[in-house]
Amino acid sequence: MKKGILALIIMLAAAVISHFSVVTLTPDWIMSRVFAGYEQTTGVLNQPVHAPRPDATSRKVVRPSPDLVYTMCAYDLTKGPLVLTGPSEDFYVSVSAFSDRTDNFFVMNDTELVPKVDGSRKFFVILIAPEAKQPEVADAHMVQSPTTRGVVLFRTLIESEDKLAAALEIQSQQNCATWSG
Amino acid sequence: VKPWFTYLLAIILGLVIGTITVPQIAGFVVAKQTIENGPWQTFDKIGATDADMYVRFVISVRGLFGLAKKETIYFNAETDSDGLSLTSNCTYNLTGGPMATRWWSITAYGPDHYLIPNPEKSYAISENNLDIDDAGRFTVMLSRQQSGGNWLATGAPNDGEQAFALTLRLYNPTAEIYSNMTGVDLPQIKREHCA
Repeated sequence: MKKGILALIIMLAAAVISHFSVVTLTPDWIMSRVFAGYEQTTGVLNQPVHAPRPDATSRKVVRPSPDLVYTMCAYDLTKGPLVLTGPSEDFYVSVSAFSDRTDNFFVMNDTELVPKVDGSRKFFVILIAPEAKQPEVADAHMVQSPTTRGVVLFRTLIESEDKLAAALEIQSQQNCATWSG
Repeated sequence: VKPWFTYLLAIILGLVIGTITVPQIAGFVVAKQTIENGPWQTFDKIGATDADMYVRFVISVRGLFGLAKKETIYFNAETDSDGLSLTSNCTYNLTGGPMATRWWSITAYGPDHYLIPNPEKSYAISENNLDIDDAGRFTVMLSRQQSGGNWLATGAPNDGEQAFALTLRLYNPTAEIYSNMTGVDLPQIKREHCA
């Protein structure tokens, strides 16, 4: 009898442990696969990947939007801040950042851009590591990442087929790089 | 039976039960947070930094890199307006009107959560690739077989029957939508006929 109760308790404990492990570790595992695929493509982190327009063969990320072209940057802030740059247009463009737990901790779109000193409206964002000191950079929008690693995504809207070339031109100029000061 | 064998069996059984119940329990917990508007469903915590572990699990599996609600609202439909599952052997009429947002689109996805292969490469509809009347209203046929007029593919003509889902993206929605997520006018999906 005692053996049966003990076995039941052990079974329940194992069930609880495996359940919470799967739930909490799946996002990390999926992000680690994203990082592995990204490093296979670029060889290194902190470099932009200008992905082709999504179609039925796209398998990098679930539920892609075929109305958008994406620039992706998997980052690691241990070597310093990451600088994100890109132009804007009269259609939707945004830059967003996701922690290595998949949380969307930052997003900014073209309508939120503040004109720069020279009057241009461009994305100029510096992403810094948790606890890191902010560098003093004029005109930059500073963002503190909650995790050292994560993913940045630029989204550029293909407003209509005749604006595809314009969207691809914007996409080609979106960049991420380790900030060298 | 040796006690150690019983306990080992209990551990293995527990691990299996704990793992296979994840989708059901996650679905149950997330369903309690779901905001419904006709056949469309969304929830507040997509991409949110304060999302609970079940929301984070579901998003990582079904909507990785979804933007937070501040930027985009994602409504998903897996049923028509009568609550019947969307399936590619049926033809549907999707009807809607103006939506108070900077931009919207509706995309069809297969059961694997990827775009559905079809010869016409018809993956999504938006306000810029539809015929819309002067009042801003539109009707779109959803089917495997291409039709004249507004059309969105739910498969290739010779494909077998499979479930599909729709995602309505509202980029930069106005306060009108945020304040009335369950009542704002979203497209209706009516089943016409099935093969």
